[in-house]
Amino acid sequence: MKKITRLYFLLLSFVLFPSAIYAQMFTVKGTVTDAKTKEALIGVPIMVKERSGTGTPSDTDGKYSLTLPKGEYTLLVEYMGYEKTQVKIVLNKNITRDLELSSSSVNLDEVIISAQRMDANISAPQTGVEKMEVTQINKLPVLLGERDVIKAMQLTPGVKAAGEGGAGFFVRGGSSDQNLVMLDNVSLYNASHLMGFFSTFNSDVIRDVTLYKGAMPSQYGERLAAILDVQQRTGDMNEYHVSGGIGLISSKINAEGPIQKGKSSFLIGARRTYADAIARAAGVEEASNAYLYFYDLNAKLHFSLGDKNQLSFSGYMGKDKLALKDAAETDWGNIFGSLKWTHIFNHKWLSATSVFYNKYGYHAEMEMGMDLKGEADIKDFGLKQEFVYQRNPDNIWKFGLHSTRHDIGPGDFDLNSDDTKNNVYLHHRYSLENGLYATNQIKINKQLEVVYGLRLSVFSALGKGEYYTLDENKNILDSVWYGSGKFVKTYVNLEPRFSAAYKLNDVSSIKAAYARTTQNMHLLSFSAQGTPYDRWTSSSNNVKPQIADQFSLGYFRNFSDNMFEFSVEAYYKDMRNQLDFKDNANIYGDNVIETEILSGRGRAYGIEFLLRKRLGRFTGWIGYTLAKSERKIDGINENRWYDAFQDRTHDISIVGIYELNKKWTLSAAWVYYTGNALTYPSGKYQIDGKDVMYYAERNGYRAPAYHRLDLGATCLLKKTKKYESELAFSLYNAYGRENAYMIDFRTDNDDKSKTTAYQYSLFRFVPSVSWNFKF
Amino acid sequence: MKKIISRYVPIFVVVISALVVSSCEKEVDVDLRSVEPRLVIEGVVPEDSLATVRLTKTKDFDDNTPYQPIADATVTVTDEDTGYSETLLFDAVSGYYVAPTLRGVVGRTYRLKVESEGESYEATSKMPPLVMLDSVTMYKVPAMDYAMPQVHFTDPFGEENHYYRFRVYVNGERPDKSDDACSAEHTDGTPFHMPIFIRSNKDDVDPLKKGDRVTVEMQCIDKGAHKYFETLYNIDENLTNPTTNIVGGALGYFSAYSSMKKEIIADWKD
Repeated sequence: MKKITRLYFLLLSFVLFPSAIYAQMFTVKGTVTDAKTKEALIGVPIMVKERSGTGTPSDTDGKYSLTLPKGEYTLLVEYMGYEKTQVKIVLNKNITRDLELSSSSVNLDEVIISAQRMDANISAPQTGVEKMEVTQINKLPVLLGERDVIKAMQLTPGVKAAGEGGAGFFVRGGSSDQNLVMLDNVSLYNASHLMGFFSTFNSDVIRDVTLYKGAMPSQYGERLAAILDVQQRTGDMNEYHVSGGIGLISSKINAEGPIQKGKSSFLIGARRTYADAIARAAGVEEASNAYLYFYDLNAKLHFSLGDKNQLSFSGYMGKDKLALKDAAETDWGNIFGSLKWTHIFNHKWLSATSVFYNKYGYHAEMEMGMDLKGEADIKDFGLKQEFVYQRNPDNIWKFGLHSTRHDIGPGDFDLNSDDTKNNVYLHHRYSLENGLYATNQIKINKQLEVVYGLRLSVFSALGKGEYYTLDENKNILDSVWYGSGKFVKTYVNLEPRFSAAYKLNDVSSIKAAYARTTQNMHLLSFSAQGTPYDRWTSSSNNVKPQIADQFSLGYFRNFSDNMFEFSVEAYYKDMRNQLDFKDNANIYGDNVIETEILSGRGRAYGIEFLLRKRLGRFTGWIGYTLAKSERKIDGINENRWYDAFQDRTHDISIVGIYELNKKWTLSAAWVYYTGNALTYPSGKYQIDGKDVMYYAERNGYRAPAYHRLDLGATCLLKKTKKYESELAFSLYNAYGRENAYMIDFRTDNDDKSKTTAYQYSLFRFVPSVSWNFKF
Repeated sequence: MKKIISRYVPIFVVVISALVVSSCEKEVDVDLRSVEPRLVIEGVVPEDSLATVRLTKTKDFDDNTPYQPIADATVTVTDEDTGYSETLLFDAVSGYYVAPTLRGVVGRTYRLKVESEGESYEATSKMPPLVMLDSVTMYKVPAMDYAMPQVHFTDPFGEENHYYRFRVYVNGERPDKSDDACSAEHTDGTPFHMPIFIRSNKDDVDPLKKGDRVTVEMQCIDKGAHKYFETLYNIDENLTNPTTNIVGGALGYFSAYSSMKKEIIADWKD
């Protein structure tokens, strides 16, 4: 009996009082900040010099906490781009010790991909994750002088650019709508500008970008393939700064500073393109009647309310506008706002609550004999609540709830002339998307570290609206009207997630992961690159949620004291309820989109190799992916498997950045990939005297292989404590490869009795220069 | 809406291209597979004209020999309302099967039957009444170098929906891309003022100039034929064979239609 009581007590102490097992454990906690900007630094490894292997990274708000036995220690902080810092502490009670890091004068190491630990490549349990700091992205060559976080991500294995110059991307055989793109935790429905040539992210206001392409942690969901988590910076709480840049086609300006010194800050950024104005000035004839630009505005306000509470507001607004004078105009854009409250209960518990509103919409107007006006939008508002419980640095729990109400307005169209008025107003579709999750990251022993969790996804299609019963051939049999707020159909999915790293020795590890993901918001687009007019639809009684199960296994090895990282990772993804158009589908005008789509299976598998040099004057990486992505949908391609558009067999990227001296940094990036799977004709015939192409299969052909070299150089003109300026030069497609943007099969231009294939290519030798400043 | 958007997107893309890139076109060789030839049927019963049918086959993309009409098929057209049936005779000069006497009448439903190489194919089409094409004018989009014809007509009120197809001639010749189809399914009983987009395959060649004689033929077609032409004119986006109204696995269409033409001499203000 006595034994049992003792055992019980011991167990209880394990569960409830993790620090009570040893006589005296104390916690040191604090916030890691940039000494100059006072911005919280995340993922900074804080090591205990006296206890090798003990340490913790700072969390997403820059906070850290370490629980150690009573004693004297040295906290050691080494972080890319900052001076090495050592802080001596005497731990005989719980203490708070904020750490301020000063920028290192020589920014050699700034270009390293940020990692939680120096050896994160082998030790971090999360697999399939890429994280980039904006400082690194800034060194890469760019198209038309616009630095772009998404294009930088496209250079990593498993991530593929959706098209020439495009900001869309495919992850591990998934389509571009299977990526959730988030800015400050709010999802964006269209993350590109100007038909996809630029992303919506102004890199000057971005702190970092994380891409989960494998088993995403349970706090993420709602999409099948990947999560791109983009975080805006927090403004400097002590000093005012202005930075900006002037490029060939755009300019931007950003301002930040304290609202109340040391307590609150603001950051605002604005960017606008003016290519059309320059073209008009240069006398380009096509531009004389055309307007074409985009702008975006970013804002972040941050308030520290004591040392227990923080409040921040993030806002974004962007718009593209295209117009032909007196004929047509169209614009589209995202707008959102979110408010986040972070509360620290104690050194173990933290709560983050946010509310958000998000809208994407387009508007088009044409005056061609008749006035045609169309508008569509998609609106979300929702709530996110997360609790973080850090039992100890090696055992962290997260629990949370996401709840979003979606309102899809497919379109209101007016067709008017002097003598007639017509309107078509398509029914809105309403839905409620909930995610409830719990996840735990735990270091089981020196070798094994795991992240596991569960996400419960509950999606309900709601009234008001008309819902349809369809027959096998997708004809409407019946329709039922549901009143406002009535539940039409609810889908419940349980999504287990698991990812583990097992260290074989100090320099190598094996990682394995499994994840189930589901998706209830589906994008229907004729063009794989996407257009602003693509139509979103939600799961309903006729459209089931997409479900994917992904397995991955990898081997990771570091060389030369973490200077080189090597990894090879294989994945297999089984996908259900994948959507594609039936032949001759009409997605724009049709009221009932469900009659135009078919669903079936998908599978994607591949292997990704990456060798990266992280440290030194020369840094860079070589990535190679061998992959396959297929679909099988009844009613398409005679019910046989066919390659998905985004299927690419080989994908290579080689990136090098060389710090020549303090003034000059040179960079180069070379990409090669197999052409996309495309539908080409397998013959021809004549109708009404004109050649018509004959199609025999879907995606049965390949675009020609794509390759391109980009060169970049950055010249630091001046750098003092107060002022910094640089010139950035780029040459996109340096050897002028004529990559096929499109191939058109048609009657020959000159000889009407012949047919010929014509290839169109964009972007050969595009040089650019931009001037950036900061003070 | 789809069509209007899909028409404008290329215009915008052209503008973007002109602004920011140098887009270039060149001939390329693409290794396209060879597949079994398929039968192509083009059958028409115009109002007050003889029914005609043309039979050809698909051929390889690289095969630039002339299309050979199929001469040994059995082709019949039946007036479903009267039960009168005629076998069409092959005319070696034109390459068409032509009805000896059967002429289209508004309101009648016609059935086409083709037997070729042991397979049989069938289609029906009902000839709708003629809707008057009130006038044709020229309409110029400011960013374009030339104007295009614009048709004006009023869709009649009524239970039945009307479907239209337009064919354009410039000085008696068909431009590279010109024809169009529309329906009044969502806009019953309203006046239409619709520009018919015409263009050349070659970017730097305008499909018409001032002083050209532009002829627009408006055909009133039935729903099945409209679906065919609508999908045919969108083939560059759909990349799949147009939805045919022929049963049995042939490509092509069968259309009984009424029609009228109007002419205009091309002119516009620059």
